[in-house]
Amino acid sequence: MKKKNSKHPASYRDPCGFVFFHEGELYRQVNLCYREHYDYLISSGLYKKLVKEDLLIPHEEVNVPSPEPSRVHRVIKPERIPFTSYPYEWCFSQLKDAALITLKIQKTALNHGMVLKDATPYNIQFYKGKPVLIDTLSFEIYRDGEPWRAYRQFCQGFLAPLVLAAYTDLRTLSLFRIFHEEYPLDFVASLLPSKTKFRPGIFTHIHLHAGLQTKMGMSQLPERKIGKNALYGLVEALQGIVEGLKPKIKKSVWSSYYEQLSYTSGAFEDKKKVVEEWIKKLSPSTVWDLGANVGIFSRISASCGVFTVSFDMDPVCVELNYTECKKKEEVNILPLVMDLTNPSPGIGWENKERESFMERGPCNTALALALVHHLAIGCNVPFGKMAQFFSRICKNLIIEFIPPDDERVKLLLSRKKENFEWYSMENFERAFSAFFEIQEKRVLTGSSRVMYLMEGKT
Amino acid sequence: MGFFLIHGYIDPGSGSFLLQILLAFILGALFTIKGAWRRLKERIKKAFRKGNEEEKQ
Repeated sequence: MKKKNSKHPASYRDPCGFVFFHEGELYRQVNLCYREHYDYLISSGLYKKLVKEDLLIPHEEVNVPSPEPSRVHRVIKPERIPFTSYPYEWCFSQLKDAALITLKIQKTALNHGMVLKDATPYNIQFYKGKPVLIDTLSFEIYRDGEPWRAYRQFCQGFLAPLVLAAYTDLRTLSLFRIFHEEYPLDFVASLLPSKTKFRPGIFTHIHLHAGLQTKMGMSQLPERKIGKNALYGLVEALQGIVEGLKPKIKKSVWSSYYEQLSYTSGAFEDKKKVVEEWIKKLSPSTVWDLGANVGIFSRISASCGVFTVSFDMDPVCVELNYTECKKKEEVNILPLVMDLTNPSPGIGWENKERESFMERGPCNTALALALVHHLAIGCNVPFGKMAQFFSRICKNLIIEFIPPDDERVKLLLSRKKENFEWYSMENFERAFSAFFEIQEKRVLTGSSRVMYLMEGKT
Repeated sequence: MGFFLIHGYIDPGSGSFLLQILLAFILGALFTIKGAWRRLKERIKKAFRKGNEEEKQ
């Protein structure tokens, strides 16, 4: 729970306003210095248009005490996003969709006599299955002849990461954790294959752009006015480049996981039934599916009407999961890339701008299916540490234990030199009982796999 | 379009501004041509539609 009437730690850069918490609810203050732009956003019809097209988070103007009353013009209460995610947790297509709606918003804003003054992926969140702009104060009135101030930010925060991932490796998207908001263009240009210099769009907006940034540095610049058509042209050119970028989907070890099931389809179907039954029984507000792979069990939870975050460490699995969400227009699933042995840390100023994975919890219910053996044997995480971790991130836990005689576990053990005698059901239950009450225990039909329903001890 | 010089501190984003200025003419021209082409296509389509409707009547 956030402190009463406290400013959000990530909300310190924009002089136009800030986000704050009051009695657990999130609000945004619009400062007096932004009055002209905010009022124009509303009166020009741009706000209405963007909200109607699900491009901007809707808000209502409220009368709530402000932490800085001398600067207040309005206090608005935006609809609350159920889970905040960051670009280093997105798959390629999520970042691509975020880039495309940013450009669509810029075009719509230009039509209404405004422009986006920021173009950072951190202003986009996934809400009801779609990317949406959450920073209502991102707009300013268009001044005739002004270049697009957020062009550099767009290239470094959207275009460069997407181009790098498309031409090298999807895993480069995790570099957001290092560069935070903007990839340095000279760095990206140096990693891109030479053939990208022959793609006019990439050559211009990445290679030439990087060269000019280095050459110009802090030098004086003759400024020339830019016509509005040039701004439209710029948006269309960037749209064309982004739309043409495709992720290289190579089959990964994890993306074909379900093709090589080590247990019977009967047990797999039984597992689905058990998960559905327990989710219905708990009727949780949120579920975190940890090690979700392509989201088969996340979909069971989501089909029960529960908002489900579907985490997996493999960007290919997350890409496939997100593609499925889009195809089926699923609004209750948020697929994200997350390595549980190295979850997202707090980053940015004072490590507080972007919350760590743990800080965004606890969730009501966590699913940990076919995960324990990978953490225990693959990553040497003892049961005690595992149980403690789960107790910190969830109130209820649906967890599967795969005994040592299972084919998958035997395979994992055969590659290890260490002694794994401690990997037993008794030790598993003992370690988890220190943090959880075991409510139910079921052996899956035709297998030795065991499902547990646990409730955290308070 | 007027030229003028900025005096004082210039941030390292100067290269990005310069690129936009360099691209402005060509992007603006392309957008104008594309727009004109779209409008022309619409007119032709409309004219055809009208023609077809008249034939039907």
